[in-house]
Order: sequence, then structure tokens, then C-alpha cells
Amino acid sequence: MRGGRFLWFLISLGLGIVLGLAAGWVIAPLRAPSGGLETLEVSSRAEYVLMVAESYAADGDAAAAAERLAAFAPLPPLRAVQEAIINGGEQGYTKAELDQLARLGQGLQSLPQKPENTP
Amino acid sequence: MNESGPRPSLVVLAGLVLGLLLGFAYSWFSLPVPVKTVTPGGLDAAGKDHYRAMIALAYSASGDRTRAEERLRALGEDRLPAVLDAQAQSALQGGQISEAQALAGLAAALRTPAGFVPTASNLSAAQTATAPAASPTIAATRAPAAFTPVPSITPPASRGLVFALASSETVCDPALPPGLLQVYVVDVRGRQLPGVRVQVSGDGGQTDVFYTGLAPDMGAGYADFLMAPQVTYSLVVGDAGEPAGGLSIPQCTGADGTNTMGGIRTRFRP
Repeated sequence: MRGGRFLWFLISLGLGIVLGLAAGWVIAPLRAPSGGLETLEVSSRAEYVLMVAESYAADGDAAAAAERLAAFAPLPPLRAVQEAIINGGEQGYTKAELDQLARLGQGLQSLPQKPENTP
Repeated sequence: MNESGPRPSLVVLAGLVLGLLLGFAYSWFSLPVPVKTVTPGGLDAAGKDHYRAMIALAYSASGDRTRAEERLRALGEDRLPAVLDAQAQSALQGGQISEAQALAGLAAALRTPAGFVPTASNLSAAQTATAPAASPTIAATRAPAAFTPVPSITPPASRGLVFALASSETVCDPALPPGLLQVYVVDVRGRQLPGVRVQVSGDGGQTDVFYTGLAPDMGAGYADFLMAPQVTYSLVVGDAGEPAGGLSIPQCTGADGTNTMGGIRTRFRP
């Protein structure tokens, strides 16, 4: 009867795996990011970046702009601006707004680059 | 039939528990978490604060009120001036002066009717208000759209003081928004006090809290509030001030005999 016990063990193991996977899926939404800026939908993210660009156009403070865009981490600030330019173009941003975004991008590129992490 | 080894129920239980652990561990560590994107209205409190502050900073830079209102609508919040004032106060306490002034400037703009345009007369009068108002007749008027950030806000020096209404006068100035309740808070020597809490309560139960000093162009001890028609308000200035009640929009009679809504200018001191 050892074979029978082993069969029941396999059946219960399989059932346990299925239940464990289901439980993981149910709990997964709780592990999702909790509504910080990094979860903003694409169009709203572009709008946020445009606001940063408008502020940058007035004060010329690229470091402050980079800090404000750091909320989208791990997305690098420059990448966030590039995405905003692409999405802004699709959403019908004016040329002046796209220019502001481009100037923000240039301003960010003028900042000293962070050193790469080395092991 | 006397078998050795574990009982069948233990075998099944062990299989179930082991399977549960394996399945759960796989889904936790290996399966991708579905990324859910949100609109600004779905942001958490910190995210909304960031977004609101950025709206205010952009408005401060561009002066585009219509765009700022559109952006604020995306947050889906009510009572925005009060929310902005509260956030401005938090920013002020956190030492973020430019952010605080941007938020306060946007709150002031939202309290102003959309058609209000500052005129030369109220702009020049606003400039006179930056001097300490020691006289009981304060001749200041406000031009919220001309808000200019000046990093001169000092920490509150009013804690423990009990403020009472020293004077109240009707203001009939067509250049000002109708129903504007102006509050000046001074110390015993007549110096204007920034960072003083002002609580205004309507007879319908609505309560707003705002602070002096967030419009430095009007003086360090200045704050204002836009009253609604047919509502009577009471003011409490400071942490434990004496309530000043019976404040409502006064009627003004113009030169042509027509009635218009005026404002009130109040002065509080310990």
C-alpha cells in the first residue's frame, strides 16, 4: 500500500500547489504599487512632466526639476521627459509645450551624471 | 493489514501543506505583479500632494489659471482652496517656502472670481499694504493675481496669544472680489503676525482654516476668505481666540444707487 500512499501524497501536493497559486493571485493586487506618482497613467504622467517643464522654464533650476521627476523612479528623469514628449505629441500638445519639454530634457542632460553602480 | 509508516491522513495533509507552500512561493516570487496605473484622482495622499504642489508651481510659473483648474479637476477634490491652504501651511512648516507660496497663490487665485482683473488702483494700494499696519484704518486692498513670492515668512510668534476683534469695517471697493473677508492680525505693538491660524465657520456648519502670511505682498499678518452670500460667519483667530460672529456680506450702494456686494476688513489683536 506504499504506492497508494505516494499517489495520495502526489494528489494532495498537486491540489496544494493549485490552491497556493490561487492564493498568490488573490493576494497579488495587494502587492501592487499603492498609488504613488510612479503609477500615474501615461497621459497624466506627461502632464506632470509638462508642469515640471513649465516650472523649469521660469526658474531654470535643473536640479530641482530632476528631483521632482525622481518621483517616477526607477524611470530616469530624462527618460520620463522623452516619454512625455512622445505622449504629448500624440495628445496634441502645442509646439510651445513640446519645446518646453525639450528644453527641460536639455537642462537635465547638463546635470552631472550619477556614477554607475559598481559591484 | 498492519502497515508501517505514517497514517494516510498525515500523508495527505503533508502533501497539501507542501503544495500550498510551493504554489504560493512560486506565485509570490516568480509571477509578475500586475501593474495598475491610476489617474491623478487615484493617487495616494502623498502622490496627490506632489501633484497638487506641481500644479501650483506650474501656475506660479505660467499664470495660466484655466490650465491649473483643469489639472486640479483631474484630482477630483472638493474645497480646493482649503486643501491648498492646508498644504501650503504644511510646506511652510517644512521650510519649503517657494512651494508654500505657490500653493497659497493658487488658493488665493481660486478664491477670486474668474473675471477679476487687478487694476492699477488696487495694485498700488496693495503695495502700500506691505508696510506695517499700525493704524486702525488699514487702507489696503488685495490683488491676488499679482501675488509675488517673497521669502520673508518668519516662524509663528503668536502661540499662546488670545486674539480679539479690534475693528471691523465694511469695504465697498468694486475692484475687490465681492464678499471678500480680509483679516489682519497684529501684536500688541501693531506689528503684523505671520502664521496665525484663522478659523472661519459658516452658520451652515462649514468650517475653513487658513493662515496669515501666505500672501506677503499684502503684509505678513494678512489673510482673506471669500464669503458666500446669505451665510453668516464667525471667526476665531489664533489657537484660542475669542469668536467674532455675525459676519456676512454687506450691501454697498453705488453712485448710481444700485446695490452691490461689498466686503469686510477686520483687525485682530491680543
